[in-house]
Amino acid sequence: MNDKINLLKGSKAKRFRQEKILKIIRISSVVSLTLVVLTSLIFFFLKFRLGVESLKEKENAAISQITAVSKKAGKLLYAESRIKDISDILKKRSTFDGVITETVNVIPSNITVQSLNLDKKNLSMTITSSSLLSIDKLLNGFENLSENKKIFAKITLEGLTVDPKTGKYTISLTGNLP
Amino acid sequence: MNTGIVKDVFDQNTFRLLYYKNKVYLLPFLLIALAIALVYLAVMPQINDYFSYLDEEKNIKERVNVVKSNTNTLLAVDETNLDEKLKVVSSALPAEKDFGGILRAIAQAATEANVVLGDFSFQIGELSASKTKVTNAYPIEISLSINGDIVSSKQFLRMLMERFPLSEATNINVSESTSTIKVLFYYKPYDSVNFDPGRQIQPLSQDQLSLLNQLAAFKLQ
Repeated sequence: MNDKINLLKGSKAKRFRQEKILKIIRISSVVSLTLVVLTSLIFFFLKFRLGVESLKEKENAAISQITAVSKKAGKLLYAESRIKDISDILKKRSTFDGVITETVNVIPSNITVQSLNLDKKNLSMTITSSSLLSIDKLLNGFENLSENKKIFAKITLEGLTVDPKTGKYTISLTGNLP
Repeated sequence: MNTGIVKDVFDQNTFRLLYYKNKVYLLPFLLIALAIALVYLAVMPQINDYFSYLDEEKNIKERVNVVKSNTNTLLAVDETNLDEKLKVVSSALPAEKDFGGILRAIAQAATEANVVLGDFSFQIGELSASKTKVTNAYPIEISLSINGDIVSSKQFLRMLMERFPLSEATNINVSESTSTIKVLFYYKPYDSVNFDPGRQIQPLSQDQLSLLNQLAAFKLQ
């Protein structure tokens, strides 16, 4: 009861608490400022230690060294670029030459090619022969090119005629390239 | 008017009272505010700078290593050998329309295949329009006729390919003794080569060397 009416004692306690808070605030302010300054100094020295400038000098020295062989570099890069172009052309080119070679190989010697037209999509040819056996060989050869070698997607026999005067057979056929 | 003066005096007194009551806190709070301001204005930029310097240091180190490795690669390349390779690729894919070379190759191929050349014509489209889709190389189409059957045509094309490995027959029309053949030849103008010392240069790969060897085996023009 007495404590409650003792104003002096209450004010002392309050002042003591205020001083304590003030002390904490003062210490905090000094510590925070010190920490900020220290962090700043640490990063300053860390950045200083990195030595980017000396590395840049090294880079410049290395570049000046390579400049002496830059002509060779240009030639090498040019050769690489040309080889890539050549390789691309070879990859995309048609198998036209292969088709001609394979077609010629299946034509027996006693067959006369009257006409042959070959483009990137089709082969059409007209042949004559007096030997049915040779025509049979030719057709078997084309069948082989289509089924086994996959050179043609489809072979169509367009017509077969015989000339009774000469005894020669004429056949027309077309082949679709894949 | 009186009310205003009373209010001003009251305000001044209030502030004065508050100042005297709290002036001991003022300096520490100012210091804390200064510390916070310094964090934002000085420390944070310094940290950012440090990390960007760290990145730059890493990049420069990498670039220096690449430049050094490129120098070693280039020093190891034999320039005479490289010139020969350049000659091979430039013959296979000329930088200009080599009409002389094409005509010479056609004549030589005809002689070797024992066929007689008939008429032939050049068909060169518009340069920009006729660029090939795959390579940006330009084609020159030549339509020619030879006195020969399918076997002679095949032989002729084989001989032509010996000289121009990139030549490509696109159409062949054979009658009993005459053949008409359409052949494409390619050329590609020089591209500007930008040499960046910081970009890794590799010596020619095995695949590239093997293609070069194949090309060198032809009777290039």
